[in-house]
Amino acid sequence: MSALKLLPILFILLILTAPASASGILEENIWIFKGSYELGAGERAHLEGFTVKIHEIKADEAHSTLLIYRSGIFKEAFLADSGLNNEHTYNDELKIDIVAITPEKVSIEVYKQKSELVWITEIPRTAFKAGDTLTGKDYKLTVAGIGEDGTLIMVEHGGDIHQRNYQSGEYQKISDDLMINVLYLKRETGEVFIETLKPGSPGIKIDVANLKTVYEPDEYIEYELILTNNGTIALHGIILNVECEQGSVSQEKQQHSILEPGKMKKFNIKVKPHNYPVGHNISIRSNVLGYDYRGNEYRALTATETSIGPYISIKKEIIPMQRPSSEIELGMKEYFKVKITVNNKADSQRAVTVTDELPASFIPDNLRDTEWAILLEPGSTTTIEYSTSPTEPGKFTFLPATVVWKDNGQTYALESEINDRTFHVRGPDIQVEKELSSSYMLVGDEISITVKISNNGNRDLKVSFRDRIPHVLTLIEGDAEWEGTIEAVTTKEFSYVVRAERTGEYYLPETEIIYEDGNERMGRVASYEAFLYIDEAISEEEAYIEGKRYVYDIEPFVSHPETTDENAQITRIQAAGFLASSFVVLFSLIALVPVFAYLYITRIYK
Amino acid sequence: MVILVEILAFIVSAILFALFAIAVLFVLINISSRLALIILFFTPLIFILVIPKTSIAFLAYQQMLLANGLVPVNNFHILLMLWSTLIGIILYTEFLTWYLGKGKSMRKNKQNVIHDSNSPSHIRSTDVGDAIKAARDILLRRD
Repeated sequence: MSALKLLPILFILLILTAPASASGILEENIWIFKGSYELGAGERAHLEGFTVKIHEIKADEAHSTLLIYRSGIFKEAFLADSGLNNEHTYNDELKIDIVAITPEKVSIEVYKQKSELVWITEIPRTAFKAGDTLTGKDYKLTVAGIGEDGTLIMVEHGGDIHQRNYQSGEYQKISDDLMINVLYLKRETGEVFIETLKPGSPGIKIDVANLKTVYEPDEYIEYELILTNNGTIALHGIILNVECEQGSVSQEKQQHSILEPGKMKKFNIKVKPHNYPVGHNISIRSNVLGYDYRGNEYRALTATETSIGPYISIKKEIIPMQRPSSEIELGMKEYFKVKITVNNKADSQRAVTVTDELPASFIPDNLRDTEWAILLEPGSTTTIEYSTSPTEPGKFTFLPATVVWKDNGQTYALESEINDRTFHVRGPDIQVEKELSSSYMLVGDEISITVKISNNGNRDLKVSFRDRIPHVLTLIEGDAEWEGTIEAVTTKEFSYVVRAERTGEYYLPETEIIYEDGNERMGRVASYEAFLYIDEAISEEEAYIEGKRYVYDIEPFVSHPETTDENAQITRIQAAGFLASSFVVLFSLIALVPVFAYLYITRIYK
Repeated sequence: MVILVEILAFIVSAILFALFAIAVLFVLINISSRLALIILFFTPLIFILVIPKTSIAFLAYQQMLLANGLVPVNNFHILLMLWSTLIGIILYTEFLTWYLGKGKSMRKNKQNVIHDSNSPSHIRSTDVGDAIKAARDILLRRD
């Protein structure tokens, strides 16, 4: 009973195992090319369990003794030459072809027998009836008849006609390039199911992985070359040759024995680039050679490109900092730390000059200039650090630093990467100007001095100033000092009037203002000095009208007892007298004509 | 701003001078030429004596500069011009009035003796009331 239960399982197993035997048609025991070798005396070639060793080379007799090992155990030795005795087969498993014998080397090609997929279905299962014809690329198949003893099939191929009776499941290799397979003969309907097969071919596809776009000059260019067999049958004796003119390839030649269809093989490529003063492109050529089971060559070539940077590198970093309030007397709270890193990746010492250009309103702290001459040891890195402070608030961007060096008499320059970050420095921007209403005056004259304070910054500022008045001037009107707040983006003017006391040329001292913002940061700003020329007072005869004042006389009135106003230069009596005399003179002049006319008339006609 | 102040100063000065001239002419026409002359002379004088600082400042104020700044024109000059003009008007009015009233007839009739009740001999009166009346008559030109 239990045996009966096992029957269905057995049946299913039989069905499942049936296709496996069918694939046997597609495979063939063939000598598969495993690679070509050039071996000197004593050298060995290892090959899937076998080892071939050149025992000796007799160049004068043009023959050589070769030894065959299997799993490291000596099996046999044979004598071969490049003439008639150039082929040796061991145990129907290994075949060695001697290609050439030179005094130093023996060139051999090695084949190994293996059952391998070589046939690929060309025309899949198709139903034919007697008389039907199938025309392929290089053959013509005709089903001549279907009878009890099988089906008669006629194949025209390569100029020959092959004719034969086939039963169900029979196949025949017509040539190395064609095989027909009679799958099933259905006598009751007079049909026969046939498929044709052709030998497959391997395909080579090359891909590159893990390749960077830019490499440092001291860095190995390492990447993977992925070889894929996109053909239908296996690729054998694969040889990869890697060449590079701008660098040294670590392993120029790499081999791989077999690559099944659809499979991939990764080759690691490692190239050490040569040093160049400037950045350049590097091209690596990879040449792949492989063979099919019949020894037909298949080639693929690929060129891989990448870039190598210059051996000198420069990097600039800007770090915004803030001073503690206690340290601020002048200038802004913000300052910047500049960090320039220069690296020499060349294999020799280099003398370089590093230059850094600062924005116009920046001053480096404790430095005379921002240029440094440095000697860089091979593979060394030097870092330059300095601080810089802005002299006025605003928005700033830093320029890149430059490194200049010489190589073989030629000068090379390299800039650091452009830092397009904008730094905003907040703080006071205050200006003070001192203006005189006139820079020329006479002793006793008065001029107006104006102090103009402009707060162009973005903060309100507490401002104070005290203007020093030289002893040659006397303050008449207004104040020469002030203290208060000036709002952001506003200008205030302060004026006072002074009188000149002594002649001479003078420079009025600069007006210095002290300002303070909300963060208790203090600063000082001063105006320019103002020039003033004080001339001698003019005499009475030279009295003239100047400006908007009428100068009558100066000296006598200063100490006149009747002066009602000490600043007035003329008394009321004198002014009245002057007016009266003016009137009298005018009256007399105008009255001359009518008076004479009156006298004339009265005298003549009286 | 400065220009605005200058314009304002010019307008104020012009108004003051105009008022002065109108007042004098009004007196000249309606009251008496001699009173007009007195007003013309004493008004600036009184101002100078009462408010000297302001008056001097007013008279010294420069209105304009002529001939590329070579000739400054102050309010004082304007006052002189005004005075000249008004003195001229007053004097010639007086002269023409006299001429048309007396001189003409004198010319026509040399022998004609002018009887003048306002002659200085009449003023010599011991009566104070008469003296005031006589002075008033002189001022008001009452014949």
